[in-house]
Amino acid sequence: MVDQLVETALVGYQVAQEGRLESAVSGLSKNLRKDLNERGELSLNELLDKVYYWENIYGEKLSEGEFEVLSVLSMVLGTTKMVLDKSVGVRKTDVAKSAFLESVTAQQEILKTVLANLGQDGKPKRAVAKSFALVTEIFEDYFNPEKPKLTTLGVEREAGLWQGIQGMMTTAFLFRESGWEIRLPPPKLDVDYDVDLIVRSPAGKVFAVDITAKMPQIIDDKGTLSEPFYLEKRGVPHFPELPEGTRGLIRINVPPLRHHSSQEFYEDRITGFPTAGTINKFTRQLNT
Amino acid sequence: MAKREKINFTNLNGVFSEKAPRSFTEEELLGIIRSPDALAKKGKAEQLLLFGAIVKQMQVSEDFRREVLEELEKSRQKPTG
Repeated sequence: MVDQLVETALVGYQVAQEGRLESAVSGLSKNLRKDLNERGELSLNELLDKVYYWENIYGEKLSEGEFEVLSVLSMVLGTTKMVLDKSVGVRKTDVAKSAFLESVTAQQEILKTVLANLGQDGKPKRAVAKSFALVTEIFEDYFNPEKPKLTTLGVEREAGLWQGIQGMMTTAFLFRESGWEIRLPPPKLDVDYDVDLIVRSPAGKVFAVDITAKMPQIIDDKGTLSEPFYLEKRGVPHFPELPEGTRGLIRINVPPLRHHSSQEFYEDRITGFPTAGTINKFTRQLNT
Repeated sequence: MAKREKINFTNLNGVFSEKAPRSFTEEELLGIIRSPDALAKKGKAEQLLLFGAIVKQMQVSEDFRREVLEELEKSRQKPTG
């Protein structure tokens, strides 16, 4: 599972014009607005807050149609949750681990779906990626309810479902452009040991890959910050269940979308496709 | 000792050559709007795939969008229990 550091300061995009979303809200039927506030997974105001936040991170505005779809999904999820609460109840045992496994499986399924829908240029189709980006980020609390929260130097660190998927997509493209082969590990390997991908070099050497999207951190007493993108090669990790012949672990950090460097790192911040400069830098570091 | 799972590397394209895990018809997607009970029985991964498909389809098909809104209106008339 890819994790990230959450920062309150946002990338300096222009804030969405409130009047435009107010227009989207007034475009909803009166019944839908009423129902959202009564039994939506997100009330109308919660949905608006999430959409404003999303627009600020990605630097683009949603259409009225997209807002309407999210309102419909909020209603469907709200009703689904009521059904679940009544029929299943809350399991007390091993909830975190099974939720983690479910999240990792969901990440892998979406990754496969996006990568199975590449355009003729070999890049992800934007509309497919954006559909998943919207659903996973706006309804993150529903789809990723057991996200782990850790504290590192007083900064909240939490896994984000879409950031995780996007980190895997970006890394898969970086390896592909470098001529490496990429596989998904069994989800349990990710849950237990943070192995997000298994890759093989053109020379046939197999490596496990751990992908993170952490904000730069202070690494010495002079206040030096770590690079937003880095690649580290390590020895063979002592993880049972790794594929036979694994030669080592590669740890990669891609810039989170909340960091300004993400604007130069990604050609498209929705699909996570890297720029040519990023691909060159990655290939150089990989072959060092 | 834990069993080691072999990962097949015979296809050079790896993950890029895999088929999409699921594809859905419009009728299946409308079924989800009609019956949240059916959605509740599915795993989160499939729910996400369904939702992504609904978002995409509502963007590209005005007929589908209208049907979704009609189904939603019908479902509000029904008791949820």
